[in-house]
Amino acid sequence: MSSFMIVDFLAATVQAGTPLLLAASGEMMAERSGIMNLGVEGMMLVGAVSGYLVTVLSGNHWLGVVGALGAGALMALIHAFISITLRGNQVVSGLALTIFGSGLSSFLGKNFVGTPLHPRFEAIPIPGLAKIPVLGPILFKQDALIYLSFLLVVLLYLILFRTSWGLALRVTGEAPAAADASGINITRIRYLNTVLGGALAGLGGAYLSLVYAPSWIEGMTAGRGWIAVALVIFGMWSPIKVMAGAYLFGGVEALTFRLQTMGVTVSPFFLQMLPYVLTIVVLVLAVQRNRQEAGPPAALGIPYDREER
Amino acid sequence: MQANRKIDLHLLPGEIHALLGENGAGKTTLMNILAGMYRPDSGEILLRGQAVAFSSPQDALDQGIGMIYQHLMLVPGLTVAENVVLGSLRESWWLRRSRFHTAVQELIEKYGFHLNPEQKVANLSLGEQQRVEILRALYRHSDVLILDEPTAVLTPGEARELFAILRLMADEGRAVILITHKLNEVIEIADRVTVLRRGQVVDSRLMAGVDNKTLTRMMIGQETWEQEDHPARQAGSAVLKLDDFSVRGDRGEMAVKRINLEVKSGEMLAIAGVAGNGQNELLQALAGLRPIFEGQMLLSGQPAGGRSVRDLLQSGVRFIPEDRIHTGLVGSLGVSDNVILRDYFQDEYIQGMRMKWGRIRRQALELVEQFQIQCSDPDRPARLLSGGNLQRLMLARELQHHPRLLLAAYPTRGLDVGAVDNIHELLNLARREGTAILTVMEDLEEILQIADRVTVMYNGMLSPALPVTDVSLEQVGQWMAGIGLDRIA
Amino acid sequence: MPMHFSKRLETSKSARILVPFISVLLALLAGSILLLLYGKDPLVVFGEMLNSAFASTYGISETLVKAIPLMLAALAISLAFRMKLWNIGAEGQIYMGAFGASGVALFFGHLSSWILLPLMTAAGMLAGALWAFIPGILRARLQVNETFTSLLLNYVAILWVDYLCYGPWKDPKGSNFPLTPRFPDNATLPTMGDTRIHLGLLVAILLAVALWFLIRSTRWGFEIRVIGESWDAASYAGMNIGRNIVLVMMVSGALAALAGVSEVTGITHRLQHGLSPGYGYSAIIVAWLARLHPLAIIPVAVLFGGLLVGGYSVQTEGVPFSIALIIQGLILFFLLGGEIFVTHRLIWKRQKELRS
Repeated sequence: MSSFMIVDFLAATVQAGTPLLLAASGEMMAERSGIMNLGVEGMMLVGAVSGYLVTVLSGNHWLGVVGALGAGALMALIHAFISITLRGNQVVSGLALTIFGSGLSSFLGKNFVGTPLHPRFEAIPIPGLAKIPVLGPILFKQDALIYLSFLLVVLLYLILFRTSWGLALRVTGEAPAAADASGINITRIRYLNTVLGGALAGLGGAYLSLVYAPSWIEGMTAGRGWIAVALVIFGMWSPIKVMAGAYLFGGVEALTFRLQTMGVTVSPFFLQMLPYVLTIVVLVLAVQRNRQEAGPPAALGIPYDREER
Repeated sequence: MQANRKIDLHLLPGEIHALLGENGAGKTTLMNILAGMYRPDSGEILLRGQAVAFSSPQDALDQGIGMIYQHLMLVPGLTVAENVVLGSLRESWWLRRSRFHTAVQELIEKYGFHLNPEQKVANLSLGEQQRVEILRALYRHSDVLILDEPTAVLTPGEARELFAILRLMADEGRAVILITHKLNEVIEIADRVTVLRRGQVVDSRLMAGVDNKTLTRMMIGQETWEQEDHPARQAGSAVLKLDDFSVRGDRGEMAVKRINLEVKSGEMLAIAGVAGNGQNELLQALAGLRPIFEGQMLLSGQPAGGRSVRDLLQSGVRFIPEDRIHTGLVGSLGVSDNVILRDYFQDEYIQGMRMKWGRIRRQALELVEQFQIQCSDPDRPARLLSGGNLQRLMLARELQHHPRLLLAAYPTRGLDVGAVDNIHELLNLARREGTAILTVMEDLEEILQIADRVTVMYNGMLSPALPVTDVSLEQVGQWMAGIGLDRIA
Repeated sequence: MPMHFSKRLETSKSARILVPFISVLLALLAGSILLLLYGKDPLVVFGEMLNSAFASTYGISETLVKAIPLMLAALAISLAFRMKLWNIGAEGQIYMGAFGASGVALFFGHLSSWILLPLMTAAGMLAGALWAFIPGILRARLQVNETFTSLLLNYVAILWVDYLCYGPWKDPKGSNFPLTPRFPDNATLPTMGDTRIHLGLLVAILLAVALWFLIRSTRWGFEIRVIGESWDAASYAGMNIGRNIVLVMMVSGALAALAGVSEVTGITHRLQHGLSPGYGYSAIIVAWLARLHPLAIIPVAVLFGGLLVGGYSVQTEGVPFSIALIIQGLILFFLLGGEIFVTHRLIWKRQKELRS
């Protein structure tokens, strides 16, 4: 491979990794507060179709982004209500969200399959930075949503580890009874983060339909929502490591795409299996490592009931 | 169910007010209402003459009520200072560690607490953790301090230090509520006592002139119970013998360190000590639930180390774990399911492929009657039984086969006086029939009352086992704090 | 807050029974709102769904045909869920079952049907069991969450079947469609009259009864119930949790695979792309709605079979098939949310009363 191809490949890696990065970052925030939302796949799908529809109907792709954020947030609100207020089973509620989301997205998008998308997010080279050799074209010749995702990672890191709100958030997922006793409003923190998680998953989906594809195809997330949830485990609930994981999987996707076009003799079906198999392998390794280092938030997936402390 | 009925309680600044009552008398529910955790169905709370209503713990904290719970509410992964300021940082967005560290350091110095604000709470002893909780209340300017059974996790020495701190708090004009069921604590520290029985206030008076006897009468409504005598028992042959026995804990640390121990048939050996010093790991290993790291376990002279739970069960080793509702019993399953929980595989319960549920149900009914378990229908979930009945059910199951060795973790914890007496009777009965009993208990007075010999566990090490008639409370208290144990081990 | 939930001492029996029914009604109501927004009369749409699924012999027979794989997969899921093992890989296990059975049919088609059909069934169930063995062993030995692994394997299984249908097993005479050659007649299940209802229905019902017996009356059933409630209690009782995890996952996988076997032997008579329209996912809802009770799964699966048939039929009215999926998701939402009325009591309280 020539150096040009490598740079090109790495730039594609960032693009393919961005939907995963957005969705996984959102899930990470929800899990930090103690809520496990396995409905990321469904929220991404609804985000993807909403972003697409709003853009097509309004003619403004930024409105599409807002629509995707809102749609993802609304989906997550259902999960929040069931698992926080009604203390329902979070695993099954997440599954319900995925089934509902895949139905709803295909219902809403039925008449728009194949409609061309205008306007689109175009690459905006950042003056100066884009000229840096190698790094420039990989990181600074991208579209606005990618720059936004860089910003998001930094922001989430600061919120989690440098603010009092982040401290309260971490304690809520780690020791809810202690948080409650010290006057932290657990319900509010869990709602906020679950909904934030949904909004980011919606944005991740919209990145697929507005930038990556750019079009609406039924079931276009193809399991990325599940990979995103696995990435949170791989990334040990930390924004920077989640980002690394997202780009690793982005890289695999970009690679399989390139291998297919280069005419590699392996069947494309096997190449397409690669991300799923790799996710399982990564999960196995991550769980073994996390057992020694950082496990999941202690109260993850457990509804908080004051009467049962 | 009404846990509290029409309670009147008056609290004055500068006093230490003991709230005395048996387990289940409603003390904790009352305090949870004051702390904003639960809401009262009727009635009002007046604070400095003003009616207040708390809808959350935050409200109560804002009004100056600080609660120190029995199960400490700290976040182990955070530092002392972070735990102290947790929840009170709403006004500042950024975490300014240096600033609040200084504030916490100042408080520590003012009250002489010997804590390091930068240290992780996970590395502190329980006594130190309790001081962190008190610090938290002070940081929030609480002028009412409520402590729920604060000495349960402390050595006698630590308890004395705590009382000194409480007196200091009262002298500064705070009101202190001490929830307890221990009479001697009330006599030692309280200015005023209020006694709760079945959710109602039965009496409230100044401590002047009140003695142990009066308190007992107030608390259980009758004169003191009979002190048990210790008839000289014939010590039998050694049932359990441990040599240089070590066990690892969940995090790979050495939880039990090369201990030696012997329990004879018909004898009860009690392990005293602050919870979390390796007692649970020891019992679990002896029951086959935890691998033995090194050393020998002899059961009636035969090597028994490394055998499975079921194998040990078959050789007459029975176990009553600490956690009743999730380990010793399955709360959501029926009483009859629980009766066969550990024996379901025995041939007598199986016919062909089917479990003999009719027979199992009859057996459950028999046990219910024999052990006086209040249970109307053995098909209803065990969870619905009271604590005393759960414990009886567990004992009934483990004792019905006349075990050779009974391992019992905190068999009377959380039970009221009547239930405690009843459990003691059952244990005594088993002992008379020749069962060797190894038990872990936290209440020293109870140990001296019922056990034959006592040993203290501290940091995985065991003190010498002495007959209860030959030991002093001071000696046991020192061992509980680890004093003099290193030399022995 | 004017209201809060307070824990009941004993779960409410009436709520246990009422919640599923009310959930279905509320889901239809919420679905109606969506249809209204879409410009369709919900009464007409639901009427048409009901009509097509239950009003004619043909409709009922098609409903039962769809109910067979739902029943089998839901039975599989209920067994695992009872142990709180979240096997959501039924979809993939269905495909692996179909793959195993098809392999035998394509290569040993000359055998008599008395040997061939049992052989196909065994091969399919074995393939499903082995597929479910992967998440099972990973959970038991390495503590890897079975939810992710079983789900991710669905994608792999579907791609594997696609590979076969587009590649080595493709029917040379099937123009360019992704399917294998048709099985010989010895490899197909007998059907009832001129409907498509096949022997699988009987098998599913018998299995439901067998599973009910297993859970209620056998030693293994007792172990499954105890492990599902508390791992601590199970190890205290001397039960081998790890072995049971692997075993239950494998049995669950084999049962789900049976749904795949019955589809290829009873309906399609060949392995093909898109064999299951998400039976493995719908079955999760069926199992949950039936409260994991094997016998209750039978009627619930029939109801969901009708929902699928109805969903296909309203496409002619211009309503997308996905309305069926949406309603399934909604049912599950209401069901989960309604669960709290079983364990808790709702208490209304005005702030004023507090102070008086």
